[in-house]
Amino acid sequence: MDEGLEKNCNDESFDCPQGIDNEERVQLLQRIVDGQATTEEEKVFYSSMEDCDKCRCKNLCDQHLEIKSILKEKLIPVPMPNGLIDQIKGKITGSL
Amino acid sequence: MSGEDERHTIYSQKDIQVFEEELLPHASAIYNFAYRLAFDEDEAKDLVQETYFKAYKFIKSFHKGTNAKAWLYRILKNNFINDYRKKSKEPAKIDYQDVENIYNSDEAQETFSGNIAVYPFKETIGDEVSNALNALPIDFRIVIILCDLEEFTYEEMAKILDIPIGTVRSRLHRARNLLRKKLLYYAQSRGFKLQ
Repeated sequence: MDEGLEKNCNDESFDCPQGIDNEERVQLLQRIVDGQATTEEEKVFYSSMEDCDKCRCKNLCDQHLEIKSILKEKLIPVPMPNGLIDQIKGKITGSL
Repeated sequence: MSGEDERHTIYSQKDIQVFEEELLPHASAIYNFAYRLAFDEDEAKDLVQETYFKAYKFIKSFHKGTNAKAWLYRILKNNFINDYRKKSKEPAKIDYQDVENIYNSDEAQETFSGNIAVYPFKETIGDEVSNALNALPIDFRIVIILCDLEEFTYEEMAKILDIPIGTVRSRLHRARNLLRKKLLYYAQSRGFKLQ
């Protein structure tokens, strides 16, 4: 968080003019980032941003979306080692 | 189920069929989860085998048609956390063969300031994103992997982790904020706008 700036919604003690408390904001933000928010929740989120000049939710939302994007781009699935399935089956068969 | 009961469990052809048709197809995904947690191929293979072994032992408690993948992830996560806790409590181990190799090598002439304790995780992959993820506290790492790489829903994650959905989201928020700080330099160099 940028230091020396006025408090904004990235601060836990920020008093949101829209009346959204910190925990509620965190929950809503993550639902938006993960595409699991309802249409109504999206309305609340975006209208809050438009109405508040201190709102940093959009900024945070964009950053978290970029984190998701970087992870997806860089951490590609690793191939399963050959023979692992046979080893699993062998271990199970051997235990019976 | 007690140890006594387990020894007398009789597995039917149906149990084997459920195991092969519903559980084994997730092996590749399960291996990836194990690898992201352990960051080591051998440890990941052991985790996967142990997970399937446990799943088989308790196959009768699995309801066909339910979320087999989430069930396997939950078993693997519990195995990993148990091992992780055990390792965290153990005193630091020294691999004396490594010490001997270093002592006998040319590197011995150079100042060695590294810590030779063997940690549960190895940072051998020179990849900033993997290292940043691996540097997160374990609970944060798990939620990121489940959500951003495995694309589980909050509800599924809550079941796998055995925590309320609200806690899943709070944990994700904190994990992403931590990752954001760790990836700032990397992101800027790649043209991302994390700042």
